Amino acid sequence: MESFNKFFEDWYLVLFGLLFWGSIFGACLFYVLGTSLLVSSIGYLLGFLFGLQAKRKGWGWIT
Amino acid sequence: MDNLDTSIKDLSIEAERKLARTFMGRIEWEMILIGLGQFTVWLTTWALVIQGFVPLWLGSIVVILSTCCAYLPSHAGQHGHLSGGKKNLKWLDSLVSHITLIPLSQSHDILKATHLKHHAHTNDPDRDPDYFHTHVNNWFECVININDQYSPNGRIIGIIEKLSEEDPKFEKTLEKGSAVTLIYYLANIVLAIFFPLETLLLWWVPKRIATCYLGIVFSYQPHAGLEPGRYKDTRFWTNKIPRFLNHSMQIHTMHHMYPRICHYDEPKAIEALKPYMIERGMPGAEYIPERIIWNPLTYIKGANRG
Repeated sequence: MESFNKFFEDWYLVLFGLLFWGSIFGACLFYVLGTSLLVSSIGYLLGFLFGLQAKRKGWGWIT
Repeated sequence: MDNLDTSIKDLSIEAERKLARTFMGRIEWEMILIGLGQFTVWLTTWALVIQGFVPLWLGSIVVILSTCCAYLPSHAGQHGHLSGGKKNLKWLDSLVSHITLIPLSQSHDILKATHLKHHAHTNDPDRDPDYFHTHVNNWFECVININDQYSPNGRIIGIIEKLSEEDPKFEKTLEKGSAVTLIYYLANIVLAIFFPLETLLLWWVPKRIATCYLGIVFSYQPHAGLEPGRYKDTRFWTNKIPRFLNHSMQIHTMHHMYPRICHYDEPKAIEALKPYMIERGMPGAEYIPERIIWNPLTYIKGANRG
């Protein structure tokens, strides 16, 4: 449990970026490029990168 | 001292406290209505937007406005105003506060614990959890700092660690509140997967905008640049808009002087306690009018001088 807590503490911004912002970026891309698995994947990739950047910079405001 | 009410002869602390106590102890039903009302607006707007009865942009505007009203009822609950200090109604403070904070995704327990520390150590750079968004140079710095205060490298973290070392009960309360924070974290993610743009514009954006508004109006304006001390840590201030649109935070001084007086009773209490406030040299007290009406402080020249 303790190791999970530590993992979550370290990676919660990346996880939030991937799932929360990834879903939002994907939805925005649907409007521009139409619905497809690739577009959805790009959305989640952007979210993941955004989360990584947030972790690196300490951007707690993304949550 | 020209403004002093000459009918009051005894300006001692004891006389001040005796008078202040006459304004304490009622159930602040207005805050219960506002808290539950704004949450109902938030929930209803969600339902109407998802059903397609209301466009998302309009729903977002409505929710931004209602979310700006989310904190004050919780604040009343944090101080026990919703129960009127009655032990058998304590659950009301916590329940209404939890509900009203949902649009802000905040834990009642964490906000209560940190807010009471703010009262105990107002403007102390080492112990006031609000210090880093109140003691800044402008509104922009305030909104940056308040939105970033719980970041992994946020400046409030050092203060919270220090307060936790000094007060184990404070630490326990934060741990209890963290469970609620985790629920909000997961709820935001799950909703974003199913309703991405709705979650962004009906929850995340309103929460961030309301946080900016709260930081400026509730914290920065009343405390910026002031030092610790019961009678000098909060100021009377004014701007060009009616005080109800600022949640009457122009008279936040009264709250710091006597936190057990309900928000809606503060104008009457200020009228009564004005001579004591002037006597103690409270910032801006000399500018408050004899009668506090709906927008009394707008027209007072000089009330913004720090």
